[in-house]
Amino acid sequence: MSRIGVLLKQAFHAVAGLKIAVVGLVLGFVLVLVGTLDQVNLGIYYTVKVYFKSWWVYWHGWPVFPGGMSVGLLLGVNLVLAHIKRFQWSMKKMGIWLIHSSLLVLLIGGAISGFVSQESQMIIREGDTQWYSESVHDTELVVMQAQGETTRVFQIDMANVQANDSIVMGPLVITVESRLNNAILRLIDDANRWQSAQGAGRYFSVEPRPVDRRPDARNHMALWVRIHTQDGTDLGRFLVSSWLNHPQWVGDRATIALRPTRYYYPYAVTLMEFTHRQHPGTTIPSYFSSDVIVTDGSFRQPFHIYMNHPLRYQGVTYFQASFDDADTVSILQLVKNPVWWSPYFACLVLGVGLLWHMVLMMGRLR
Amino acid sequence: MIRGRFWLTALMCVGLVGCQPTVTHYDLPNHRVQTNPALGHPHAGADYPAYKRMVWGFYWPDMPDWSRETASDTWTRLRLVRGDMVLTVTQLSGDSGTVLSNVNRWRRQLGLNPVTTATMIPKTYGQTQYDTVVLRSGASHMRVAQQAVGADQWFVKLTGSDPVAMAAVWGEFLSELSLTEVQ
Repeated sequence: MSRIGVLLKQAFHAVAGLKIAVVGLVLGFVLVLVGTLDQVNLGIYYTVKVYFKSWWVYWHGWPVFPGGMSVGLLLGVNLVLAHIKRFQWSMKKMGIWLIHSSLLVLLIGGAISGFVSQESQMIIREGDTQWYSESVHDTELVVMQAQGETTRVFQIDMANVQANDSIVMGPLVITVESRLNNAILRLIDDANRWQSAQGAGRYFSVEPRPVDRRPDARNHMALWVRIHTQDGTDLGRFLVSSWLNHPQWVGDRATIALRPTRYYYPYAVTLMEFTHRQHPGTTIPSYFSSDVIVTDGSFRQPFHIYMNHPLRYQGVTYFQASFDDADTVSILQLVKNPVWWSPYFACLVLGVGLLWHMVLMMGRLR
Repeated sequence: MIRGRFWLTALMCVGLVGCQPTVTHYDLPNHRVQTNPALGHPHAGADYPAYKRMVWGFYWPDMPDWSRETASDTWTRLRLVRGDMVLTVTQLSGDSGTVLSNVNRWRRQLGLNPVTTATMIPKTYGQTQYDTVVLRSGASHMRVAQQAVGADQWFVKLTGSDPVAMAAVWGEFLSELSLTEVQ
């Protein structure tokens, strides 16, 4: 066997070994413990993001501990390789095989869910039509360039952008000078306009705020950016903020905006009527619902969404979540998780495996 | 054996760190893109009044010599002060009272006795017509203008002791005041 072959064989046996499984489980245990304790400080959304939906846990900018994704991958790979190494096709081992398979389905399902599942809100005023939903927690930087009948939207998730980064977005090169994860903007008096900035930056002062980590809190990111064209022309210094939530013109061909991450859908949802009833003599809601029409090409169908009775359409579930503005605005919570079935399927396989193994063991005892 | 494990682990780490998303793009029909041409239109430059409307829900002219104070209630949208002159803009939704009840409320604020009949005089400032009333009690003066916008009633009130200065500010302010939001 060649040297590479020997190395691969050694690596295979090492990764498929029990030691790696124990290391993975210990890492997972520590991660869950620390993450649970830190939930007091971070809240559930940020805990999941920082500890479990991450490859590394960072401390002061340095990766100090493997994140949930790394530990899950390690355990998953170990489980698969261990099966390949020790797999024996026999009825005796079937229970164990099913139990381990269910764990694998759980791990893979969790990983896929972590990557592709989306939670967002669709906010619609009565009579309005909406094509997109917005993330409560995530922010995106977009550059929009009109191209005749359509607009091309260049988008980057702000989780991947730091101060001093330079990003090429369509016709523009955007250099991030500074970044605040939560800030409010105050309109300054006209007489004190700052001439050195362009767009909204001339009229607003930025006040940093601590990041609010409550599950439903909306933080407003603010960036000072310098924008050049691709050929190097300096277009100036701009202030972009999700607090503004409006695109600003940059030059005469493109607009820029920092906004909650949007998810567009190939169909439209129109809110016909929002209903809100309260328990008599109180302001506690007893019932609230949205009558919507989904228009998807020639398909046009009315739906009634109310508490615990969501609309399910094209893999997206629409829950009635809240309302606003004197009951004229409905807030729908959208959940898209293509592997929602994986925990149920894993539990089924696990149950069958345990039953199989138990019956087998009982037979031996007899 | 140890070296093999080390290199494998190192390779996995490099692979994981390298999984960074980049700029993506998609095309949308123009009518699905949220735009506000009033904000920083390329041919008009960044539009301060539009930002002011966006933030405050209405636009008022710059008053460089006046200081803006925070109101203690939620319906007072703006409170500006210069010397003993106080200018407020108030927005009320729903029932905002009759002309008589409103006039008597303002009279009470000046220490005047209530009246049994009252009218407000329509006057046009700039492009907008307001219902107005002027009150006086000794050295104290009050001017009020009222305008209905949709289901809301807006009141502009100016109090002070110098009727000449008040008249100048009044016309200038109401001429440029715009109580409708940018769509």
